[in-house]
Amino acid sequence: MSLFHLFLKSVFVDNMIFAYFLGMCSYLAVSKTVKTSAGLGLAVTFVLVVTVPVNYLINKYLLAPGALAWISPRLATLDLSFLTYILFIAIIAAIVQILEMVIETFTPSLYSALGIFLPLIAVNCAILGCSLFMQERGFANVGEAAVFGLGSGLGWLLAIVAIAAIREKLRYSKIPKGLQGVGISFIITGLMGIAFMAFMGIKL
Amino acid sequence: MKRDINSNGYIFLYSTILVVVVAVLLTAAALWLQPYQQRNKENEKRMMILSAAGAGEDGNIEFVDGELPFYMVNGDITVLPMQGNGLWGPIWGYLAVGPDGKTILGAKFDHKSETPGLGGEITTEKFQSQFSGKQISGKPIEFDAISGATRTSNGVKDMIDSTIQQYLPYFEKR
Amino acid sequence: MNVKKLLIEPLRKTNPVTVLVLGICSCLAVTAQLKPALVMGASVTVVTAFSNLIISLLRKGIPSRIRIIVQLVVVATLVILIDQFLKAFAYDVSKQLSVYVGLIITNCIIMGRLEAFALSHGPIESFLDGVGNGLGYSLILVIVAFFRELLGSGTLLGYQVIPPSFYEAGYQNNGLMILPPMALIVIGVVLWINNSKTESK
Repeated sequence: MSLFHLFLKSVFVDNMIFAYFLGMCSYLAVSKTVKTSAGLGLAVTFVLVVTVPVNYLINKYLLAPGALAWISPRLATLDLSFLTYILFIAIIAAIVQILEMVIETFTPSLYSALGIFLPLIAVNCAILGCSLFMQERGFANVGEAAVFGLGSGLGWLLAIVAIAAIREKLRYSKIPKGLQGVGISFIITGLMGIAFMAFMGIKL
Repeated sequence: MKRDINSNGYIFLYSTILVVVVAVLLTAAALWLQPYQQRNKENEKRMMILSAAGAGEDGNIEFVDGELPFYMVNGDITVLPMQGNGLWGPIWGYLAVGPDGKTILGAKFDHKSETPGLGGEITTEKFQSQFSGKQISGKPIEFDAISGATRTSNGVKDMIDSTIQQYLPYFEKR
Repeated sequence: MNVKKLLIEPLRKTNPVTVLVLGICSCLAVTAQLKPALVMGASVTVVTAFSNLIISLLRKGIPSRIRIIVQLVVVATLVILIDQFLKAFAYDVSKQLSVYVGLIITNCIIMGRLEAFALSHGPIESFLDGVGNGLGYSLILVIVAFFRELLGSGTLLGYQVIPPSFYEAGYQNNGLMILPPMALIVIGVVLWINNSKTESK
């Protein structure tokens, strides 16, 4: 499958939010304005583009069964995959911490708008999920892993900006009091999810 | 002397100790528990192969290695190992073919991370019993997919069809 | 230390799912049936309580620059150890849980409580806070799963609940209920009912 196909598939067909429903927490809580959502979406994309290829290399040369053969043939029988969760998460957490420091320095307004959800990117199921998917799918090289990360991140960005745009317009609608805020967001996301199910049958 | 918990030296020391403690804990647990886990896994595999073949608990399984490895149960039932991809992770299973080399006696599936109630239904008797009696040939096997679990069902379809394609020459030779 | 407050408030007033908007991903994934929802709810309660306890005990020594990593490592290690033990001594239960292992580690509720509570409170309070939030999460899971399984498959806990006579009369299971988007809509409705009740007080 060409890189372009992989990219399109990751953005639309395998959309992190609408196909796999990953990364919902920050998605629902931060999507009040398009501007903050775009900021968070870009942060998530950046984290994915860095962590997925790095975790790919770690998986290939350290974790997979027989991966350590490059150090010495005696180690070829070692299977360190039980360390997957810990290692992947540690890498993700480190990169998010760096990102947090960068954002705090260069765009403090975005930093305060994102609040607790910036450190929560590390725990965002979409980020870990993406690395775990990468491990399952066995990409041929680092390039494919990077494209997968990029596509998944942009798909997430697309989803969060879309719902933020809808929510911004909703401010002028007459929503029943009980549904205002979080309630209506849930329902809209559900409806968008149903709509995106249309992409499931597409074969690229 | 009050330790400054934010000093670089302390951070380095803390991280190192944390890493060592976690590594030791996890490796010790993995090593100590491995024989128990291994036994459970092998038992489960044995049960799956036997039940796909419709044989009893004390059936005889012989592993036949080679380019196309398979299991021979009670001397005349061939059980093919299958591997595929579900929605969230790998799926696998065993396909039992009768002595005539054509009729499927049974199929058993399992998965690592499919959704319970959706993709997870591939492990139910209701889904698996569909395959008994079907014939293996060059044509894809038809079966009822699971509502709401399109990708997993497609994963099962691809898995079965590709396995049969691979082993078809072996059966035709017999 | 108000035990009642720590355990009761997260059920309604500060429910992690409906008020704090945490733990959504797993809410969607495991609520197609009631049984997995119960397993997941129990697991998250146990993990939240114990990781809260551990981090609270360690809180005075964690350097703030690596605190997220430390929290994640503690949670991940706890979950993996539980999974490993189950795989060795309760294989059937572990098969049910293994599906959720990844979901538990990244469950925002656990991290959220560590950041918001365990880092600044004593161990016993943190433990109870963990239990309370775990139960609040379980409550929502059970409510959503109840409706999704009942309306989507006509069963509860695997037992056929809707009698065959209904089906013969033309009733059909609402297949859409089993799919993840409906979980969101059900939660939205639950919120609606919840908020309307508090208003009219």
